[in-house]
Amino acid sequence: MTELRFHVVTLLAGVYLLAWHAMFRPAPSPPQPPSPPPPPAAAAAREVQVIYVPPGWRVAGTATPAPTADTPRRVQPAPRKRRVRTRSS
Amino acid sequence: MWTFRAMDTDVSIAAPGLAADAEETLAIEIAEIFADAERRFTRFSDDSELSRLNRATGSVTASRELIETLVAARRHVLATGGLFDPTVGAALVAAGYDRTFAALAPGPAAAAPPRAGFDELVIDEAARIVSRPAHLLLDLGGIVKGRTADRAAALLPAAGMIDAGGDAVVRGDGPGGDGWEIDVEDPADPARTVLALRLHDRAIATSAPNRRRWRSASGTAHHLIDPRTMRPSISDLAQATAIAATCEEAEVLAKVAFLLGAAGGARLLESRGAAGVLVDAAGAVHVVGDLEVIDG
Repeated sequence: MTELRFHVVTLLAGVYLLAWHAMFRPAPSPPQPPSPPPPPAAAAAREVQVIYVPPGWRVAGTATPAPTADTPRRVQPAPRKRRVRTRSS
Repeated sequence: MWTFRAMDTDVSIAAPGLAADAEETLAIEIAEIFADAERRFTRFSDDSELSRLNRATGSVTASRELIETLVAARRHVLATGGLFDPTVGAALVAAGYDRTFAALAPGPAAAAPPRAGFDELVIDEAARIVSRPAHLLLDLGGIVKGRTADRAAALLPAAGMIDAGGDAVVRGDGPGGDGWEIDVEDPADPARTVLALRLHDRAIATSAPNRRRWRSASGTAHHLIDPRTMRPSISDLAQATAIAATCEEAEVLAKVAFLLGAAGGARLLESRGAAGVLVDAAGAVHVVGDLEVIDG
């Protein structure tokens, strides 16, 4: 009796899964025209997408590292002064 | 306006007619020119080309920049009868100025070193080879700052200004359209000015012992070495300011005018077609040449 119950439950579970798959599987997309191949640089750029860089690390291979708070700017803005002051230095 | 630190001083760049981003790009380019000159010509880094020349025991091959600077220095040595002479490096070290001014600490002063002269330096311009006797140390600080300001000024637009710690080049008519206004600092009180000038397309430089002055066992010393004595100068001037076509020329004239004193300094400036402001030890201000004084 117990073995019969097990088989019935297994059968019902299988039917349930098939019905679920039939109802919720994605509809087939219409055929798309073939897209032109991306230019090599764009393809290379999409090879790896960095989504997280740990603090203190930077991505190698980028053209110019972005300035960080630890990198002092070479020049600093200053309020425009109307007069120059000559002195010994 | 943009500022950066170079050659142990603050450098300011202004080009009022440029957009802010273009002015910043110009300032970055000029900052690199100053940084390159400092790396090459500082006495305070063992890695600089000047330090390698000052350590060398034989002939050394020099960069084009070093050769050009030495040739320019020789021209000024000859024009001033040897009163401008960058071979006083050993005297600066003997007086205690052997590290950047900010790092200077009280210490004993050595005896004045033997007289060194620029004519003892052998410069082969064509082969770019330089050799110096062991007792001769070069200090190119002043002339290099002036030449660097001139080189950077070549990048300025029609209206612009470079101020390298008081040595300045101005181009055009200034922010107000009637000339760049220049305050001449009072050597007795840096918070005050002795007078103000208006300049167009000129360079200005000032020499005084009031800022780079230190104590040694033999008394107070400063960085304006008199090549005749190889000691810090004893002048009747407290400050000399020179106005000339280039910052290099103004730098040399200000230094030599200080060494010559009030009367000799005025004669020097007049004979060279330059102008200047001399402040004597009593605080009296002497204007030399054709200058537009607007305040003072």
